Amino acid sequence: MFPYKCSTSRVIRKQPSHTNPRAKGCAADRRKGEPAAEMEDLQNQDDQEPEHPAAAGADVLPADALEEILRRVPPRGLAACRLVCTSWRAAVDSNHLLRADLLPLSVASILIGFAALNVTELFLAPSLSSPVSARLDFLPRAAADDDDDAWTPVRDHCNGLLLLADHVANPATRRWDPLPPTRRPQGAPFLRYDSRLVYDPTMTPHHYEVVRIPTSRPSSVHDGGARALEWPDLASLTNQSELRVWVLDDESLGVGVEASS
Amino acid sequence: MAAPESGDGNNGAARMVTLISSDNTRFEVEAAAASLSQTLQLTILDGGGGGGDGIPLPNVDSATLSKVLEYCIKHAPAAANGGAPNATAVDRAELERFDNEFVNIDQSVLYSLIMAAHNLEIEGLQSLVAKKVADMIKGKSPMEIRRTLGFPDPTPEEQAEMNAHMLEYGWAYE
Repeated sequence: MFPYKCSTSRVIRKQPSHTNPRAKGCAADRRKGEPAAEMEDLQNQDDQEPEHPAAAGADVLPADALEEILRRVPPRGLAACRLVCTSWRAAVDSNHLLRADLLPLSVASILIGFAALNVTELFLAPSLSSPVSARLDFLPRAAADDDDDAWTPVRDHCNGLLLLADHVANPATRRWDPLPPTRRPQGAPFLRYDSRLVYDPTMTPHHYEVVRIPTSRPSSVHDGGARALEWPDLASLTNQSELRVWVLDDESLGVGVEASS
Repeated sequence: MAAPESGDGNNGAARMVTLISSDNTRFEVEAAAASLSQTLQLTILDGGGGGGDGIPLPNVDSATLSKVLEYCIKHAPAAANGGAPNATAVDRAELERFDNEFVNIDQSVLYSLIMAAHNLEIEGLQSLVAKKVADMIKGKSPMEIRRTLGFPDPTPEEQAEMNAHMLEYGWAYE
């Protein structure tokens, strides 16, 4: 059993993060300066209840140990943690851990794909405080392709990420990642794939998966072709290295430690 | 274990330091392992803990300290290599296996480890235990989290407060 104390007298000194939606980088800044202040809080808390100095169950996790734990909980879990008790809610809010402003709470844009024309248009809600450009001009292009208006057709999209032919891109953060090359099974050189993107920032803000599903048989069906139609190896297509880039950068979210250390 | 190349000119023989737990048990351990603790590192660099002196750790009991040192000894060689950029995949897999096994422990022990890692400022251990608790929390409702961590049932006031805050971030409970 964890020793437990949840004092309702604890002062919440910081505004909850959702009142300050553009405070990027605040989590990282606090990492350097604030633990000492948090410890002060803890000290005050102890001072208020000196009658139980070492009784079982009268202890509490040090503020920065609790923060270490909460920083590793995905947003959906953090919302539950806010309800555990007052000090947990204070820890989540004062450390700006739950970046609700960055989660898909409303429709911000609509992608329309014209399959026959192989183009995609992005319609943005006029109310967006920081407009997202539909131009994916931050993506590397083949040298010959210098047409500014050239649109890479969007194959799929999921919660703000776009799946393109060779990249996954986030138009809001203008970050991208190359896709690993498709490994075509021996004997099926013309096998076609349908690509799908899976991404839930409320569960795994730093992780997405691309699933390639074979959709067509090679023209002549033989042994090799039959094998190629088996379900693809998901593990080999899971982009394990991209734990950092998609929602926003490490510092501002403050949960990128596992990836960077 | 093999003595790490610490490069502090101690002629090959690994320097040992003595740590004394709150219940007066003495632990002799290589300085390189104990130095994983930021708190101890300065004392050790100053030449403390050697000989018959020993460094008293009034906040850590012997059971916890022995567990902490088990972690430090296992991780010292990799730490001495500066985060082990040249470690083989086998080494890394072995450390990972060790870590997973290491935190597969009783909650009271886990709690003692959190406090010790915090007091001794052992960064890797702090991350490891925090990740373990985070994994215990993930996917649970507030009440399940309270039960998992052994919190008492909420008082009526706490319950009312919970309900009041339930409306915020409503999407999370869909």
